[in-house]
Amino acid sequence: MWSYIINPFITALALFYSFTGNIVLSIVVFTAITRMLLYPLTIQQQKSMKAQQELQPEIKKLQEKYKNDREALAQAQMKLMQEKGANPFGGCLLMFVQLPIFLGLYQAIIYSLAATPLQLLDMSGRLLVPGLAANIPLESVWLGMDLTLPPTQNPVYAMALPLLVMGTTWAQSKLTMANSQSRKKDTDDGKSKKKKGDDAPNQAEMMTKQMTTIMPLMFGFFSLSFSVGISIYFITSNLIGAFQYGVLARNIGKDEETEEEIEEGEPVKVLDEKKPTSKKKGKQSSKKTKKAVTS
Amino acid sequence: MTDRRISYRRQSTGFLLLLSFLLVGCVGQMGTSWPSLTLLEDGRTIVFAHEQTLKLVDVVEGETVTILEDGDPVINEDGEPQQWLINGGDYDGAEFFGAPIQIEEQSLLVPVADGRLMQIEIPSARVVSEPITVQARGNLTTDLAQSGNQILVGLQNELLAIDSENLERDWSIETDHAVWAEPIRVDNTLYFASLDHFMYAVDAETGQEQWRLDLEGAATATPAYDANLEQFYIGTFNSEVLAISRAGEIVNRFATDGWVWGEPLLIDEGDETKLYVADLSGFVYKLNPQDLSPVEEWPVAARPTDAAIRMTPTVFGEYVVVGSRDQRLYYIDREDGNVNENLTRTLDGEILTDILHFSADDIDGLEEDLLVVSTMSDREALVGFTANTGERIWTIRQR
Repeated sequence: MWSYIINPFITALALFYSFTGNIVLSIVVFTAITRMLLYPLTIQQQKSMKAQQELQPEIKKLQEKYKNDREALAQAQMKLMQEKGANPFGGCLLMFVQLPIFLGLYQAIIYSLAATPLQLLDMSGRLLVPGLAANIPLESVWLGMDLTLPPTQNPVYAMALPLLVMGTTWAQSKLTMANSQSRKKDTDDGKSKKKKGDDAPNQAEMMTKQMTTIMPLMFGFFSLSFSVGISIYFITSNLIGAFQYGVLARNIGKDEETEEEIEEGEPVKVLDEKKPTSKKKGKQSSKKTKKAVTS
Repeated sequence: MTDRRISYRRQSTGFLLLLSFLLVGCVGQMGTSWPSLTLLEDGRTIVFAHEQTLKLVDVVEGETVTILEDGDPVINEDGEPQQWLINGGDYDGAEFFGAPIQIEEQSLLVPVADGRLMQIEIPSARVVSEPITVQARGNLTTDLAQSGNQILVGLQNELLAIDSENLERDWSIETDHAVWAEPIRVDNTLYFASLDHFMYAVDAETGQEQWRLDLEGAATATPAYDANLEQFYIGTFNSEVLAISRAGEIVNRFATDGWVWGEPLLIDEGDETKLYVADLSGFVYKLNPQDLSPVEEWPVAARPTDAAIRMTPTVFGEYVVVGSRDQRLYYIDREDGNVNENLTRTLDGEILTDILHFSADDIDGLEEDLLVVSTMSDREALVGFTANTGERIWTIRQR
């Protein structure tokens, strides 16, 4: 069963290697493609988090109403989420889909680099495209570092990799956090006035906050213990993830602005006042105005 | 509110713990290598090396050898004879993957996975000198080989020759990838293959390269030499068996179904010589050495199969015997190529190590021909079978 995940990954890595002739480039290309394929799920995750945040004022009202009846509260919350089409597990979906992919990729890299006889033996029969065996084993030395070994067994400069892993993991988590916080702020400012005790964060947000602290340390530790090839994957994945969250934040932000404009009925004026010098933005605003009018 | 915070904390910590367990679990599933077996000069004692265990086993008795001090058995705290067992944990976490060699009469030179070579006195199981480091980084998994007064060690990116007298570095030749198989010496030239897809011929005294040949695939085994035809046979990951002249040219090719890991075996059959080789797709091939034309191709199990055969086939009497990754020991009839189901045995672990065949004619005290099979399982580290009837005689655990 596990082979159905690992074998295509190993084949893809070997295929990229046959084009690039460089294992690090292959890992980077492979990671980029994997993250791009997961991008719809990333969008889904962000939207789900957003939907949950928008429900917060109503959830808080329910919490007040049913503060002595946990069962009734749970039922009312579930009903509310069903009515609004919000999935309480939507925020975690990406994590759980990513987990087998991440583990598969991790094993694929280990098998492909084949540091030991047993790992190389395990490679046999896993390549799904004929002719790729001519590239096996893949060259595992890059910039003087043996990618099959952990940083502690490589030249001293390899120790920079766990630091980079920690830094990029933190940056990615921070960006995810920043997205959700800014949206929460927008929700609080624009739709319901904040009351004392209304700052209870939602589940996804709390988890993200925890991750921002723990994940960099944990992945830094993993990078110290596992082969350098895995660190390359972590860093690439984090950088691409951070970029994706950045793009997503801009797009979702724009969508929200458009929605607000539609609600307020002054779309052109508001946008032009905010960004008067940007011709491109002006064009986008015109399009949005048209959309707003037609809708 | 506080309860909720604690709950979130528990959830995220739980997720991270799950991730950690899965990662560690994945690492745990990946071993390093399989057991190696070395036959000592007495012809009946083998050295078993796997993970952190090194032990000496007498194949006639089917028991671990007893440690001797001045010729007398050493008795442990329980009043029992002390068994010849070295725990790598007592030697800076030493792990043993490659096969040791016997140097001098009473001494073993043992490769340690972290790049050291340990010299151990055979009777007393004592480490007799400070281990020497031959490789700074990476796993040392190769078997050691002796050639004249040199010990040859395949390393991550070189083949190293050490003087067997003083264990000092003699020469080395650089390769682009690891050397996992020991070289073969013909006259004054050493021939070996590397994972870098090349076969090398080097001067045995100086290490000077004479030629290198692109095999178009990685090679993990020692080339087999045919003195009659003056050519070598080697299998590759390009799913081929190649015949190579001493001048370094590919003379013939034979396409196999899967990667070839083990060394081809030349067997005299009456007036003819045949070449036996197995592949990781679970086929055993019998070839004509002259042109590598196939005489027989025997799948050991129905397709698709997990019966990858890493080893060199063992050929004796009516049978070709191979062990496989599906934990089965297959007896193939040499006449018709059928797998003898009555003799086929299922063991507790994958069978990746070359099988040793002992002839009763050669060893005192051995009543029948014996097969010694090693598995990846701790419970059946070594199993002795009667060669012709497949009857299990003894079993030795790893610890």
